Amino acid sequence: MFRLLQCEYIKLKRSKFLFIGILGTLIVPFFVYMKAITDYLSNPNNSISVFSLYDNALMFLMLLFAPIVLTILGAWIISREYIDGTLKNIFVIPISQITFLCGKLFFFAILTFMFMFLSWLEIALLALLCNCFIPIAQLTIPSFLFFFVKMFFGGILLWATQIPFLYLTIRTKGFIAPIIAIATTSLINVILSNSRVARVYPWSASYLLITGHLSEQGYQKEISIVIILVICLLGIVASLYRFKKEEIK
Amino acid sequence: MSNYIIETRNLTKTYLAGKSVADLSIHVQKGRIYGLLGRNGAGKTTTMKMLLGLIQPTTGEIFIWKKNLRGNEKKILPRIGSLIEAPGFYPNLTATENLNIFAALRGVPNPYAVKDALNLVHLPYKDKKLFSEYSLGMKQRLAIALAIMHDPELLILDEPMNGLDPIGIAEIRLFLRQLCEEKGKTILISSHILSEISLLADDIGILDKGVLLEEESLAKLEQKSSKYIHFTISDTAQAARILEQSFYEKQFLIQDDHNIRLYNLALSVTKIVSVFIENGLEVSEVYTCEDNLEEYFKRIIGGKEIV
Repeated sequence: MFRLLQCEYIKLKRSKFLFIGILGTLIVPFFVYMKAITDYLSNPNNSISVFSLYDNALMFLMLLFAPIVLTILGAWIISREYIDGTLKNIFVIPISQITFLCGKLFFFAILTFMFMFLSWLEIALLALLCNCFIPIAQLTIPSFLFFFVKMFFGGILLWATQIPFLYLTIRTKGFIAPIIAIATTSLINVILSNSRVARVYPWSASYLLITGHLSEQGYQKEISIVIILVICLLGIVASLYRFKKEEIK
Repeated sequence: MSNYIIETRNLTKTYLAGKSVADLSIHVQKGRIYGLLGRNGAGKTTTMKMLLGLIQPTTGEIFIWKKNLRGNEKKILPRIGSLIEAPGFYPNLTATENLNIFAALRGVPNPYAVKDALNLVHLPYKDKKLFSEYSLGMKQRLAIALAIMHDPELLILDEPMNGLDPIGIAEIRLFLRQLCEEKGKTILISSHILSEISLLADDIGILDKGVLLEEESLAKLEQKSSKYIHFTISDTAQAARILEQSFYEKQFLIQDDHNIRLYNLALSVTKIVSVFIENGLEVSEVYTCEDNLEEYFKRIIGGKEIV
């Protein structure tokens, strides 16, 4: 497994997709800051806090931006093997389809955590920078650590809810279908964001779980967790089954 | 089971469109080059993919080193080097980086394996050129380097000369010959180009529409294809009927309305000519002629072009 991960890392060299992904991690924190600073400058009573910055960033990341960027990255790391015709070189080594796909899923988890970590780091660094000009409330190490843990679990939930789109990539051997699917899913996320149904819609439920909004609204979080787990397991089983059957035509 | 490195038994692959390979039984001997010859779509690549476990046969069995491939993939496949269809590599990486990936996945113990393999196919080791910037010939060389990098005992190469220039083809041919003669490697190679196979292979299997039409050593094929009797007559269709009905003979080839070739030299020419005349045919020319390998293959696959 270590070798597979090492190779996945080498494959990213000079890749534009990874660059776009990293750029993607910078966009949400940047706009969250722009909004906060604009609000502050229009009315200095609108103070900026670490909590509000991370809360806003989490909302945009979990509901809209991260699913799209991560699905593009995940679909690309899988579909490129079909597009570049490299599977015929890999399966004759032989590396089993299941081991290979598990390597991909594991690597996708690393990319997801990296995405969340970079977003967290950027918010923290910008907060320190901003504090030189505008006072930022709750600028403490425990605050940053609190959101570090939240974003770590956010990463786990994001990974779990992206698996069905990776299945779609394997099914279609390309990344167009999963991108259309995740764009639709994210749009539904936005539509459902204030609805009761959001807690049973796995992609919205992830955000509600991580921010604690689910408990605040008096809903049982176990139902949402089970739904996310089922979606993830179904995605993994379907992907493994489909990939195992794969013939290199 | 004898000294075969590869033996297939009634190997069949059926797709929705029909049979791609039908009841194929090939026999590849140790230390020899076996050429699988056939037109595009004859089933060569499908056969090779089945031999490498990339696709599963619908029916039939594959034995490699006398072991059934099914269930023994982990023992058999690491001893094989392969090139299937177009070279498949990561376009954003250099040749060395690409080979490093596959060397790491294979767990190749020799630290110089990548460098040696690239040297053998005349590709630079320290080069900043990306795979996406390679010419087709360079890509093909890299694919050959990948196939030999781990020093396999058996090579399965699907149209390895594709995209190479004439000098490159000669180099690779010599290289494969040396691998076989000096290192005792066994090579299964496919091609739709007869001259390529006849210059390289020891044994030849002729595949057409998924069916193995003939499997013979090159020496025997050359013997077989050496002679025929040519008739120039007034009506070849009637001559064909006479050959079938009176002589029970099917080894002939109608070239056009007036020319027909008979490949069974055991028959009496005098007797055939007299029967033709008795049946009202005008025989204007009869001679014995030598056939070349190309003509022979065309006849075997039913008169269709193979080169």
